[in-house]
Amino acid sequence: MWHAAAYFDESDDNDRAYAVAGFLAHQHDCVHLDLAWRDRILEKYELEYFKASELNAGTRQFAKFRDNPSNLDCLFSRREKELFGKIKTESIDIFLEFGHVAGIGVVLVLPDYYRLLEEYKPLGKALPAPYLFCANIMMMEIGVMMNEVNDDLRRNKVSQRGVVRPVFDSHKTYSGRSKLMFDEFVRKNEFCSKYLLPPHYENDKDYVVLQIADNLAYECRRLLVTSILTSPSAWQ
Amino acid sequence: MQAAASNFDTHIPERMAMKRLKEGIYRIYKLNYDGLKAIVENQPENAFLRTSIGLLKPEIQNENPFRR
Repeated sequence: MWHAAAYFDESDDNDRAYAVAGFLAHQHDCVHLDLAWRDRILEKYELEYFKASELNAGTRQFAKFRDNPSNLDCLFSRREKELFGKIKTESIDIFLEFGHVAGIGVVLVLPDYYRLLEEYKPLGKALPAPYLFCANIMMMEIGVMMNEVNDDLRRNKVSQRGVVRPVFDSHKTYSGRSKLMFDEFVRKNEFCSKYLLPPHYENDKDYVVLQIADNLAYECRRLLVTSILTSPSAWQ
Repeated sequence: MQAAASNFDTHIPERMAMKRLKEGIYRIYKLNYDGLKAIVENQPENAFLRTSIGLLKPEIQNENPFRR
């Protein structure tokens, strides 16, 4: 059996975009990613955990690297910019170095979401929360990917088949609801759920690869926010 | 250029990270007004769990690493 895992986290800036992103990989590769992350990020920089938003702001785990840790609101110095840029580069390097890891993400444009929510209100229609919307799409995406992997195995006359376990960073509001929704998801999405195992919700300090998912979710959100804001038709 | 310690700053290393990720990530979807509406309007019996990624074109797409 080809055992894959898909790790996801969310990133939210509250008014522009909401992202859920992560990666799918064979569990063997996930173990190597875990080891590389611990060795080259957590131990190297003596961090208890890594959070992309804290690196970007130079706060909490990264406050100790600031020129003046008691004043975190001041602009980054050249030294701080170089160090934080180096840590960011190294964190992305680890992900990119692993050839058989598929990074995936979905970014929901929040003003569009709220506009649609208002339009549907008089019609008595509701929308799922951004987290559930995005998590659903990620589950469908990895479900399709596993179908493709198994099609390839079948074509190559390999008798084994693959399954994937989605693992989300624990979420105090939605973890319980998402677990309950999985049975319904399976019922309504036969094709996508064929090789999908029920999702797990784990702590990112125990499952450090969820910190890589956090980094991806943060970058995906920033990437699309940047492209939206630089588009001539932005927010029309 | 100095980078502000805010969640929205775009100092150079961050933008480099984005560029590299853009070329290394498999797929990113963008759910804007049209994408959201397409999904919502295609739900049978208001069943939002049946979101169809077939209705969405990835905003960013690179080679599938499992099919190289």
